[in-house]
Amino acid sequence: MATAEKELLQRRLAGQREHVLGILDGLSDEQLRRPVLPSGWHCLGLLQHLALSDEHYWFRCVVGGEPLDYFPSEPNGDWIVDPGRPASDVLEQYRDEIAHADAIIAATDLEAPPAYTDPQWAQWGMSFPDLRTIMLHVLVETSVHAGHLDAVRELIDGRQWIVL
Amino acid sequence: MTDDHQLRHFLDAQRASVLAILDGLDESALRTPVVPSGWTPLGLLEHLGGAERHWFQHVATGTADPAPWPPDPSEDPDGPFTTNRPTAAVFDFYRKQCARSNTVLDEMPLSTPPRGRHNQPMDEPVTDLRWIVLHMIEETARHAGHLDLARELLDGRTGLGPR
Repeated sequence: MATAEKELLQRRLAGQREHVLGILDGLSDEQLRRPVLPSGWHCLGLLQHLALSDEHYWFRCVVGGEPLDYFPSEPNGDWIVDPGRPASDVLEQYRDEIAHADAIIAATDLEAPPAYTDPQWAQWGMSFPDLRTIMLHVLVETSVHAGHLDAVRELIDGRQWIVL
Repeated sequence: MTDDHQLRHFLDAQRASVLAILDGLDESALRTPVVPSGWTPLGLLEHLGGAERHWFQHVATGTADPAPWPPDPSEDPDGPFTTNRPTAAVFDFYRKQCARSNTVLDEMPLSTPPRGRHNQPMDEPVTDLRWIVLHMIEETARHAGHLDLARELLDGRTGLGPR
């Protein structure tokens, strides 16, 4: 199931995930929970969003056919982190979802159609006919959010990351 | 849908997002740095135009059309992305470079090895045009994320662009 094209997509996705984790490295629990922008999200919420709405949803549910009942029921619940939950727990959850996703990707052909087709996609004006499109979508999502974190990290403590 | 149509669709969506995020910002906002490192939205757009030209012309084909302006000796190549050029000229530059990139994609299969070279060390070898398209999807998406933040800090608008 491994092809040069798939390996390239896997490496690029791994690179953006590492950037997400790298740009957060060294932030304190308070900094990870600090809302920096008017819209009020914080780094830990974004990380949980990536774990639940990107890695888990796209790979475990859409590609792998697992149930959708894992998702928090409250509006934007994927961005809401219980104040008592340690930051390390959310970081661990993201790494764990990545490991699940990688196992599913390894066992699936790029041309394989998804196990689950979400009626929401049509409302978004998008279609995801195969694993390739889904990997590209998660690559883009992770890259955009890595860009958000680059800028937020600078606003929190001035640390800059090498710009592409 | 073939693989090469899918890749182009994703690249076009990122470019459209960049332009949608900038749409409606006035002259002053476009030239306002929002984070300490000092890049500006317009400077970032010029950088993205330069990235299209570099990757799809210099690296992919080994040659590039003349730049629309001569090198400015006062520019610090290691400094933040800013620009003194007129706004309309920078937008025009970006759109033209994207169109030029698309002609390269029309003419060369994704499996074509690069005819030129990237000027800095990369974390992995640039194998072919497919690699370059993926890189530009990531680079444009990352910078769209930077611009999202800039836009929210400048006038509160969020969630712009197709993506």
